[in-house]
Amino acid sequence: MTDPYKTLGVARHGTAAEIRSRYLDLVRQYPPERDAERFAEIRAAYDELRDPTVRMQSLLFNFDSADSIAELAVEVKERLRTARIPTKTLLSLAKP
Amino acid sequence: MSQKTKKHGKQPSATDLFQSAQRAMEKQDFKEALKSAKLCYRQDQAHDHRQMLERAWLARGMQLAHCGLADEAQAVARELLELGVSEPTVERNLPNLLLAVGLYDHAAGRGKLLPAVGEPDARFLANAADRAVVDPTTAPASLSGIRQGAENVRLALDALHAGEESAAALMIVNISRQSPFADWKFFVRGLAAYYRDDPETMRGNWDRLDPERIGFRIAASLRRLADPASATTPECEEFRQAVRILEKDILGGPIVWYLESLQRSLLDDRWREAIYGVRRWKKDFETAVPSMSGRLDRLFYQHVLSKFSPQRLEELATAIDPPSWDLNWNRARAIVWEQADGPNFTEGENSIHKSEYYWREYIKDLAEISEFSVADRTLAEAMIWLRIGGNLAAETLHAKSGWGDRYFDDDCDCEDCTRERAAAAARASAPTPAESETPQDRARAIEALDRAIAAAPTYAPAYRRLAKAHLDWNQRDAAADVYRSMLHHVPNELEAILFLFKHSLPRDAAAARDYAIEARRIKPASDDVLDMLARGRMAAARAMALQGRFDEARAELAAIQAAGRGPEIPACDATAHAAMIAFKSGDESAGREAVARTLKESDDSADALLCLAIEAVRYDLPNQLEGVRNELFTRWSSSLSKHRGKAIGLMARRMLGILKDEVEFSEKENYLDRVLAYIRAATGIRWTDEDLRDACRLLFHVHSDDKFIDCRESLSKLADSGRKKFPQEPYFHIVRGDLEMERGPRACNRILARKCYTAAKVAAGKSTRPDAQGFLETVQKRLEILGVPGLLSSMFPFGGGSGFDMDPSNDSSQRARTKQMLELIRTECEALGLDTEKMIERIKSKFDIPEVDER
Repeated sequence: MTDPYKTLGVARHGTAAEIRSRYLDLVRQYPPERDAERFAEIRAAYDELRDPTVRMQSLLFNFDSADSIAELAVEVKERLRTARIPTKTLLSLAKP
Repeated sequence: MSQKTKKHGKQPSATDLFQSAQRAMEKQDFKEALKSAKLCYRQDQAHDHRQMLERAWLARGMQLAHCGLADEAQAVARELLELGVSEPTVERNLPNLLLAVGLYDHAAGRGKLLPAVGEPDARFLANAADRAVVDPTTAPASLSGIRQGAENVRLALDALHAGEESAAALMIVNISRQSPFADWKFFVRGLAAYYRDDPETMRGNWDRLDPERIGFRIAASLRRLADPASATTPECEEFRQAVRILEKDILGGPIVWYLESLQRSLLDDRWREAIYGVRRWKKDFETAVPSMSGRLDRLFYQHVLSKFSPQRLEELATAIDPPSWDLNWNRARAIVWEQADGPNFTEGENSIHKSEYYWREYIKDLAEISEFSVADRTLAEAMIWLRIGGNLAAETLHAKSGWGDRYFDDDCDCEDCTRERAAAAARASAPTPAESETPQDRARAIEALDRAIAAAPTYAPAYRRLAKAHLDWNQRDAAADVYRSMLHHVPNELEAILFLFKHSLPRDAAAARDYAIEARRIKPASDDVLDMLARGRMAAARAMALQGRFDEARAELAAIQAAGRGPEIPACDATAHAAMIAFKSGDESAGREAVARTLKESDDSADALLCLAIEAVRYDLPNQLEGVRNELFTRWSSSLSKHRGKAIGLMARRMLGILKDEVEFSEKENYLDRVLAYIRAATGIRWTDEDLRDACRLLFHVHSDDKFIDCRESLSKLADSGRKKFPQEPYFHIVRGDLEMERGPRACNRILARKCYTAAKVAAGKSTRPDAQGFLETVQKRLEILGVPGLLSSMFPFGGGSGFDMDPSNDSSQRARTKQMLELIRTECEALGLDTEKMIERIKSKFDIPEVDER
């Protein structure tokens, strides 16, 4: 089962308003007529999180994390990838 | 100089030294080669010795330059220049060495080089261009255009760094295809595409780079970073080095390396090392990637919770800040202690009590959590009280109940049972919930669950848990009170209505009917609810008739007629009630007419007569109608002379309903005995699977009661018959397996039990019935019990851990024990004068004992 927080891309302790706002953003990004499968995923995740009881249950008693250190490492590399590299650093990559 | 030469004090010959230099060159040991070549040339200045020396000078010089030892490389190059160059390959490569060590202009100026080497070739110029781009100070002034070209390339790279792509393009626009900087043109264009995330253009340009050039090397690392998925080879050291350089210059530290180290530590469960890493690198994370620092903390927080180790949690608490939703670590402590094995608890305390303490503290913390709204806090409080109450209520129950420990014999002195008792005693020595329960636990559980309800009166799970706790403690009335309260705050809760219906049915028929009406309102399309309503109305009609309110009673039956009844209620039931109401109201002829109608409407007369006979008792017909009562009973008894599967099925279902609803009436035992006797005496019946299943269900319901001990054998036979006739029906396999398991470890045929459950699993897997999933879960649990080492496995002389498919002939001790057992049986049979071999065969066949060599 997919993690609804991950599907919506919101923090585990995000507020109801943040969750709703993020959901609407995603729906604009993936409308059902363009990507029905993705939309269904987003909708299911939102349905799960908008139920305050389900959300609170997860916040209080769930300790599984969809995040991982490997994912952090990937993100750091992505950050490096998108960074503008100073000339000196760039040329130093050629050093044996 | 070799050891051998030293020992004998001989100088090596020039030929030896030449060969030694050659070998060293082949091994790329240029230092040794140069040494040998120098000695060789000193002894004999032959032409080939000189050429060897030149080659050694050049190779050593290039090696030193490559290693960044500029001064040493320059010294070597100067000595070579002093010697002069005659060897053609050395002549060709000398400019590269001079360029690398910064002596190109110097040599050119002195006129020592140019006459010898002629015009520089393209490879040399490319090399010079690369060096000039990387370090403009090495660009030889004597090579026109190199210095300016390198400057333009660097300006283009600077422009790209500043995000000015068009300015970068202008800087390289004039580089021609023949220019030594043409490679850099492709590199700059590829880099611009890399920055704007245009992989196609990036690849188009970088694919054209010369693998011998510096641009190619830089591009290789960036390409891997841009698209790690497309990499065909594992990460090489060169790439890791490049990532480290980028991290250092862009992020300020080797963050990826830190993360990978932490991940390795956690995966290998080296907790101390991981905590040390977090402490040490925390600042670097915060500086480099502030958002990720929080995520890393959270990951460690979640990790430690999943390990249920209070000690690790306390260590983590000293290394990172608490998360914003657990400011005092109380939530984490509560979760960890819920599952932790307590090392040193004070008397009457266990991990659940510790956890309770921290949950209570966390409730106090809720007010400080800024992410929670007021409604969130209220809900959170209710949920935590529910958690506390649920945990405490569970603690009050015996963990041993269920299948787990039922399979060993307390009175048996055999080795297996003794071992199992010892294992159970060891398990019991741990603070089991049952032992650790304090007298206050129930009260505390109720208090916590009451507080959950008080915090959020519409939060249904709190009511459910409290009701369940009362049911677990056999406090059905208290559970009913909880459900009533639940319905007050959470109307339309079908679960509460169903419970209250069932609870009220034998006590307050009118209330039961009202609950059924409410259920029907909520779930109008349900057949089960329709059945429930019919049962409620019939019970209400009976209660009214008993009070002399005959018209109201008839109205209830009329309502059943109007609304219809579910499939589970036989058609004759309502008519039987009508008959009793007629008798009770003094209209005997109408009563008899209704009896005739009841028999006509029924699927089987025996079941209809049973219904009439029981209702005659329950309606408490007056004395003057005793004849009717006796007549109905006699007619029912007579109808039992012939055995029919339909009659058995219907009567079994009726009696099971009466038992489950806890209905009490005089002579109930008598009726039950007769029905059971009727089932037990049934032989040669043509069964339908439904009737046979109903018969088995009734027998299964009563078989554990000592009063009905005879039913066990009948149940076993019927279940076997069901397995044979209806192998696709999982129920019969499960019943047979359960019966086998209940025999205990010594008598249980574990192989047969496993065979039954496996057949049930297959049948349930193929079944499309709605209850198939329930069967599958049941079977899975049973098979797990059979597979638990030390529980049932290894308890039998011919049973191992792997079930019916194991081969006992592989295990000599099992074989020996089986042999002993058979010998014992043989001796006993002979002493009793029985047919020994026949008996042995029967035992082997009955208990599925595999063939062993008894000799």
